[in-house]
Amino acid sequence: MKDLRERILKREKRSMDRYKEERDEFEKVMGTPKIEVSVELPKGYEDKREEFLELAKEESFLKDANKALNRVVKKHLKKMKEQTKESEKSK
Amino acid sequence: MLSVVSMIYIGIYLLTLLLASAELTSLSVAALIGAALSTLFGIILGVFTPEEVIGFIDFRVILLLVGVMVTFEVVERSGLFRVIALYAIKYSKGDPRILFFSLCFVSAALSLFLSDVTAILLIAAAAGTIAKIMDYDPVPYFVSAAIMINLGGTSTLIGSTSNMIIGIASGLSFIDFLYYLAPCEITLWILTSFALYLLYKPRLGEKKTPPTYDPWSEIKDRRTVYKAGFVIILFLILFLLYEKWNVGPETIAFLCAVLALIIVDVDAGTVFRQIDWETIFFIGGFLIIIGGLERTGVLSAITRMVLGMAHGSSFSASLLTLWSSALLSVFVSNIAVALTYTPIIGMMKDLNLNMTSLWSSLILGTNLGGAATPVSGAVCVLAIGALKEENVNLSFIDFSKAGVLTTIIQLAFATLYLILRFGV
Repeated sequence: MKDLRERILKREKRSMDRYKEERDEFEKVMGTPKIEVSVELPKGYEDKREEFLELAKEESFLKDANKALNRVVKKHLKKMKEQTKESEKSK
Repeated sequence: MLSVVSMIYIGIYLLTLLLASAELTSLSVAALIGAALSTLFGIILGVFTPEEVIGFIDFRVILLLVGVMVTFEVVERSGLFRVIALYAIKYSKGDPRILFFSLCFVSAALSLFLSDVTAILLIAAAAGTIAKIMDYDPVPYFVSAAIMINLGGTSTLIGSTSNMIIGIASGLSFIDFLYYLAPCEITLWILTSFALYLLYKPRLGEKKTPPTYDPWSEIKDRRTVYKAGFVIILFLILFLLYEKWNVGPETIAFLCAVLALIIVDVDAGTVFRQIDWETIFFIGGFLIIIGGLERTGVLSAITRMVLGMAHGSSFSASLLTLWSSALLSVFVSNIAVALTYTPIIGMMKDLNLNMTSLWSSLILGTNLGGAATPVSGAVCVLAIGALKEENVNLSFIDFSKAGVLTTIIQLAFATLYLILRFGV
């Protein structure tokens, strides 16, 4: 019965993609908003193509990237907040 | 005694069901294999001519199905149903009991219009998101949504594919469906959701502070949603009135699909790509197999057998239809069951039986048998698939506990309803 279920689920891949799309739509409204940032292979590392792609699955890399991005996001949001305050003051 | 030719056609029919039920191939491919074999043997053995094969396909069913699919795909793309689901969650105010019942009723209500597949993907996505935010167990919400979606639309001509097949074959109108079956469906909504609530009560979680949000926040153009709402209202009005104009439901569905594409601003190409072609090819192929069974006298032999078992009584024939079609729908596609039963019941029309009771039994049987086990219908499979996406592995037994319990409750009430509504 487990095999049968797996076979059916494999066939329903297209529906599952639609489920993920729907899930993202609900997440945008109810959950924490997300933005996606893509990173290109840095110049000078062309011979490390495979290793670069593997990073997307590596937990320690994802943890570091998240930490670093969080810092950058906070920095920019803070800057935007200050800019808004200044423009309100000047008015 | 059946002839060798009849036995060949029974073999083709059973082979198709086996291929489809064991998932050795997709539903549509299984039906097309059966249709190819039926055509081949039909021509070689002189059962029918190649020209007659196309006559086996009832294009009114196909037109009705495509019309309804296009109309509601357009409406779904507008985001209207998503807004409804978001409101249902918002008004539960973090109370898991209210959330549970509101998701149950919204699931059943959306299923009146949307295909079961589209409805479960939408509700599961809504339930999955809120369950994650509130740290609730998603299983009660997903399983209950699947069961309620299977139940929703039992009393409408457009509520399920099997209803459209039965509606076209029986000549029962949109109003007839509501008149004969709506009281049964509404009671079943209450009974089923309450049974599911009692089953899952300990797993629903505690009351928590819900997220604050505006259900309209992701809607870029509210006018598109209003237009989609207008299309639904127009659709319902036209379906309530079509009998007076002497046109069939398929004509109205087709007109509504064209109107929806004109009124609501969505990309027609995207809408057409989302049409469930699998089901359409399945119906087309399966009708050719049924045509072969009809020509070789198999269906009339089954009709005689059923009448013999029912001793010519409408009541016994109705109960036999209800329970046998429901049990078969647990194991094979309820569309296949509807396509097989409709010509058999159609043959009983000159026998002084209560045809409305028989058609109502078939409608109830094919609808209610679709959510007993994870493999009873696409809606159950997708609920389990969506749970897997949420990193929850639901076993066959776990789903069946809820599925079998609610199916038995529903069939028991349907039996009582048939007795009260049509008499013994």
